[in-house]
Amino acid sequence: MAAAVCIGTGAGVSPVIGSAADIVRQIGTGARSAASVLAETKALIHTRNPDLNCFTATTFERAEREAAAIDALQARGVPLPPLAGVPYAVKNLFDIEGMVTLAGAKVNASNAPAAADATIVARMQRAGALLVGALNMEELAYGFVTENPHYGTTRNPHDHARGAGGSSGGSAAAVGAGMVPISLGSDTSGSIRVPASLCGVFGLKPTYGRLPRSGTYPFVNSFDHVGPFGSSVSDLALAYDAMQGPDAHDPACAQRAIEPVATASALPPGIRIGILGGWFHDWADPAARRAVQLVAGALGATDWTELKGAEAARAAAYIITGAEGGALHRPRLIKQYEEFGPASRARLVAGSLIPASWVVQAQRIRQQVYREAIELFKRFDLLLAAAAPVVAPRVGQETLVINERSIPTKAGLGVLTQPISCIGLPVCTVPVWPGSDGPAHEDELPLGVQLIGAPWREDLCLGAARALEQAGVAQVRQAAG
Amino acid sequence: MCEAFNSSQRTWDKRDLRQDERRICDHGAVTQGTDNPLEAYVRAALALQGYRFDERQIAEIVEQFSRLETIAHTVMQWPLPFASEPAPVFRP
Repeated sequence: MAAAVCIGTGAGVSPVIGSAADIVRQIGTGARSAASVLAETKALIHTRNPDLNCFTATTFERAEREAAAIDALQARGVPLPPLAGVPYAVKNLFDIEGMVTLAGAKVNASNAPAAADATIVARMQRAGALLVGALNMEELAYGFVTENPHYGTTRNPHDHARGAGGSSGGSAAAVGAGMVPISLGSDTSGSIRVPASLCGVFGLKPTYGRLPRSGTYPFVNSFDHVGPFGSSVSDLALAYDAMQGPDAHDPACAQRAIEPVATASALPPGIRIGILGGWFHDWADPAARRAVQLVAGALGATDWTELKGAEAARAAAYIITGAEGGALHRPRLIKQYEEFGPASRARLVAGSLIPASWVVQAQRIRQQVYREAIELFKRFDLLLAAAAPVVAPRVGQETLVINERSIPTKAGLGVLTQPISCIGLPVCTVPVWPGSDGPAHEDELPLGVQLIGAPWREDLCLGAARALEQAGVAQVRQAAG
Repeated sequence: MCEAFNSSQRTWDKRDLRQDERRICDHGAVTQGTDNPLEAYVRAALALQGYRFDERQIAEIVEQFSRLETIAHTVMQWPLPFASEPAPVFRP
């Protein structure tokens, strides 16, 4: 069995499973088998998961069957699918055939097992990937910290005293810790971008409607997106391409043909990049501002601009989220209030009481700010903003202080992502290492930057991410512990 | 004492509206008495939606609704053209 590879930088780097692109290449040449990759993945999960609490369940028997199928194809000399032998895991709101879909909630634990895989899980299987487990998340995806009252806290791979972010915290931490090169998550208000930022991995929130959500546990239909985390831009692109395509079972899924990005070249010349100021600068602390400046410098971006409706879009997202999430869970809140976590239940009930006039006004704001953004994209091809206002907070930290303003951690971590998902724009979050002018222990913590594209321009978001990765500005640093 | 609310019996005719009014009384929601219009709204809306909570639980929900109401100020005061339409969410 081949040894796990090291792809990190510097001393103290631990073995990781390797990038998806490398695994595919090695299996293709016969240098590794899918079975050996799976065995290494299982060993890494057994070693690392106890400290981090990323996995709520493993699916090793299924993965062994999938690996055997890949190795059989390889033995027959049949062309291999694009993710042949790549281990991955999914946030536990994706249906996995034969397993109960928890969505982080105790109230779901007695539900019937899923009859079939979620659409994008089935597509990952068709692409040859090996599903190794289900990952921890915020209860019902409502929050940005993954301190789950029922299934425990997911910790940050770069500092176990800090959180992984949420709501897809297990998905980001599993990639950040090198257990899997790819994971899947969902993003309603920032639940891919915030944990990607705090755990120092790449994350893609595609355009609203790009990837099908069928077979996923819903939260807010107006905003729910699904997307991948990756240890490199190539890994993100491979997973994204494998999951694209229309799906009649998700009414929000656009009926668009696959637009592949994995083989796309670097960023086109002459691309116009704007740096978002205003709301996005005001709510970014010094480390977040440095991260944006590092990215802007590497991409040659000097023009500042503003999305004036950002504050309103964030508020609108908050109201719509409360109303739709509350309405969704109201029947069980009536009967099982105490079985919901203490941080979720009162918020959900309060959301279910929101008057219709607030929701209608919020949906009107959403449309207006979307139009403002489209006008901005006549001047720019990409926009930059920090993905989180601060580096990873400590586990249990209730308040963030951002430029002398306090905001609750559970909601405040999404202050820079909510305005963007509210209007459905595609975003690739890239991991940057901005250093710190604060305590020395914060020097090595990552912070993500959002590369925001016009609708359906994931190719530009990923192209810019690839350029930043090649320049060494955006990179996944494997955790030492 | 009015009979407890049974959501399975709910149909919107005059008789049921009267039952809803009685239910609100039963919950002690509006009869609890509060000078705080936000708390009064929450108590009435909880009763109208069929929730039954104790005072500790109601206090949790009032606190959360207060946060929503603060954010709703931004939403409700944001200037919009009179004819602006909501974002489309329905695709026939």
